[in-house]
Amino acid sequence: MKALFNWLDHRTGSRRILHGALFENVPGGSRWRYVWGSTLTFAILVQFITGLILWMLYSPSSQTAWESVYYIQEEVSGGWMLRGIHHYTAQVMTVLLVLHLMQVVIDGAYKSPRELNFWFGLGLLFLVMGISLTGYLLPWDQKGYWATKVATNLAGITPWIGPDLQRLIVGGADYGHHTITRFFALHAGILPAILVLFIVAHIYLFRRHGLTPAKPLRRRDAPFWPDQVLKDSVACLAVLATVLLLVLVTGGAELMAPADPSDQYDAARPDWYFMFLFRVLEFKAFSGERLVWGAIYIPAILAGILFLLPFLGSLRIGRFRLGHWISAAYLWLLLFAFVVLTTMAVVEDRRSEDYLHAVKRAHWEAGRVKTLAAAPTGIPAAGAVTLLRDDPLTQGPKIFAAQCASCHAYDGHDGLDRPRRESPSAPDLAGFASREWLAGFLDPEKLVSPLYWGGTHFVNPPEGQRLSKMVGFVTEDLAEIDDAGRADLEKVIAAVSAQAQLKSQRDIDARDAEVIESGIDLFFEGIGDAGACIDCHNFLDEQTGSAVDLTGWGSRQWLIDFVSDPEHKRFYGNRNDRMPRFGASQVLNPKDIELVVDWLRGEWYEPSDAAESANIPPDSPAPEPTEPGPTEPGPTEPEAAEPEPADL
Amino acid sequence: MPAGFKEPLGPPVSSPPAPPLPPFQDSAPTPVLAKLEDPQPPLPLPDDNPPPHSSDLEPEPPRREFLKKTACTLVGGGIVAAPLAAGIAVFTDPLRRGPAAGGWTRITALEAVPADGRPKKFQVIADRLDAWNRYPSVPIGFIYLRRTGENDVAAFNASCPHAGCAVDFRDGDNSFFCPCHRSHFAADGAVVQPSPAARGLDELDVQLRDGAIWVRFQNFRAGIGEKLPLA
Repeated sequence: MKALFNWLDHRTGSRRILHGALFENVPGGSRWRYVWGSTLTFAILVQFITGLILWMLYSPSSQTAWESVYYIQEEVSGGWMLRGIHHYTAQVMTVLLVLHLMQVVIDGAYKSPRELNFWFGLGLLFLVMGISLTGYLLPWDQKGYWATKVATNLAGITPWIGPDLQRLIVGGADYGHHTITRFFALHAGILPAILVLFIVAHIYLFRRHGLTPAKPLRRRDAPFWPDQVLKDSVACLAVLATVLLLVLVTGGAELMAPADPSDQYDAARPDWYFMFLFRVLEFKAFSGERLVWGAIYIPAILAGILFLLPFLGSLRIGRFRLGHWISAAYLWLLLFAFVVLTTMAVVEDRRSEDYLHAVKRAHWEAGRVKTLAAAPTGIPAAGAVTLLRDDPLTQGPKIFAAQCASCHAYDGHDGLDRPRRESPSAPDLAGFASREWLAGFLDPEKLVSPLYWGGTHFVNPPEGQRLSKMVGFVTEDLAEIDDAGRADLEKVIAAVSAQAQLKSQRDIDARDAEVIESGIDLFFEGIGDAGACIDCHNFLDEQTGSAVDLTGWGSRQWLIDFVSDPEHKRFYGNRNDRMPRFGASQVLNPKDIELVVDWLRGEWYEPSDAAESANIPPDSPAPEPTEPGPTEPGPTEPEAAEPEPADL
Repeated sequence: MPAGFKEPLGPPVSSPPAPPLPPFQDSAPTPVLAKLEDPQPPLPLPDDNPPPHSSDLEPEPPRREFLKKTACTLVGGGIVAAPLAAGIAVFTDPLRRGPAAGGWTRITALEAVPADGRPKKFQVIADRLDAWNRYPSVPIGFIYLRRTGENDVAAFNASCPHAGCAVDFRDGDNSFFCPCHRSHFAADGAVVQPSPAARGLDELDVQLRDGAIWVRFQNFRAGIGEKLPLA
């Protein structure tokens, strides 16, 4: 063994190198305050190891970035842990950098002849911030996308070079593939390469000038090995433990929904270590044209002063180390401002209902897209962004809030859990077409309440129009039926509701097949002493009435046709009360109508669906529809109902 | 790391291999280290084949020396400059590309815009070119439309002119709010103070064609008072 070392030493001088590395003199002996540089080197090593492995799984393009990170996070064994370590080490590194900087300045290690080394250190600080900023975008999720949009827009206001700079960073006029490829090259290639050069220079200069001891020296000098190495190792262990704890407590790094430029993202925030800068931009002092001061000039001046500290630090007046005190005070001041601004931003966000609602919604969407991605259909080649765009549970409420909630409510809110502006003028559509919903509709009190028709012209006809016949039927005829009539009514409700073929009622519809059968008979014969529905409504093969056709009422196609054109003669005809012809007038496109209809009917993917269909043997017959409406059109013809010539 | 590191301002790394260690007798300020000295000094370098010496030959004339040095500089600089120039040319390609899409897009029907002058959000659906991919008819952004008369509509880009977050219209306050830095705009797009934004929401060109609203969707530079298209 010794011979081998001798052989190697002959050719490389390895013994001398090792000796040089381990036996550096530590004036005053080893101390805990000297560990920061080593912990940072360790953190960077961790980032290189985890980053290189992540690189093996990451695919930088706007169709695959989120998808590959999702795969790392959810599919690859241990992927969440690896990504979590990479993510939280970056966070911890920011703290370590500040501690290291503070220690260097307080101990006076920034002064002559160590100016250059101090500048390399500051360079490393800004490089690490740059690597963090570029890394934030790489998952290409909503969080990273919108935060980076703000960051690059701010780069765009840099005097003279701003617009060109922005274009170079973004890789064009719009965010897309080239934004990711550029950020990735910066994050994993260019900046780390510069970082390594800077670290080599930093450590070389550190060794050249030796350690700056914290005065007064308490003990005798000692070599780096083993005392200081032991302290450094323990500190690195503490860093690692902190990182692992963060990963385990949080379950790993977040991955929000895929970036979507056409989707509002109200929870946009930078990572916590840039929140101070984020908060600065809200100040009145930097409003309007003065933004460039808050975003560019003042940060640049403050950073510039940092670079000048080595000159200031040597200033003495008599025996007072005035320059040093000012330098240390400056650093404390910056730290104080950082803490105050960050706290302000966080506290204000915590108090903002809108922000908290947005964060809740963002997390919900993040969870939802992962559910969809984990479905047997997986992520399509067009990317995961289409999963949410095509998901009724995600889009339905948004479309409802934008298009329907000005008249309708959904369970009292606007579809997105936000209170409505004014009392609804059309029915609350939560649970539409279910037995409960229909029972409420046929309740003499509820029908005329704002929950159903209370706000409509059917109940409150404008001058010159009469009360709707349906209102009269429910509030007068149905109000007077006896117990037998009430039993009939329940059967009719079950029968009409079964027309909708709701997913949520599949089991009870199958169970109540006989009840539904007799309900259909009662539809034609009459409910107790009250009249028969068929007197006004069309149903199945009886098509003589003038009121809304209840064949397939509430089914997917019926509802699509209805939303597309409520003025169609199959529906309200000229008795329509203000409901827009969403399809016929092209207010909504066919896809949006389908999405909102599917959402209202509770038709969206749930993981239990996949489990259920996996349990059905492939050769067993498909479950029979409980109510085979003979005239029920298939669900494959959106916009099948071409608007008839308006009969108004 | 060379042995010289122990001298506070010692010679740089490239010191010749000789003289052999230990050099520590002169490092007076670090007496502790002397005791820790590696007992085995490194072996001297093998010197079996000393390079031939030619110092007895005539030196080159100074002019030729100069030419050689110049040639070295030119060739050395050139071989680095060529790949660098190629790289920079590619890197700056985005600067030579045309502006972002600014074509006319059909947004919706006129009747979809509330008659009471309340702004409403609409997606902009158009073909999108993302480097090597062309996506037909995909949402590329969203805008707000607002009636300004029976047959007049104003369109606003939803991107906040302050820093580019997407503004949200709140019915309750009848105004736009930016979720990022709390910029505040009236329903007609004008800045409401206090607000960090330097200008009102960016209005887009609108055309009415057969009862349909067409908009020229464009993004503008954020953070400045002037409304300039994003180059």
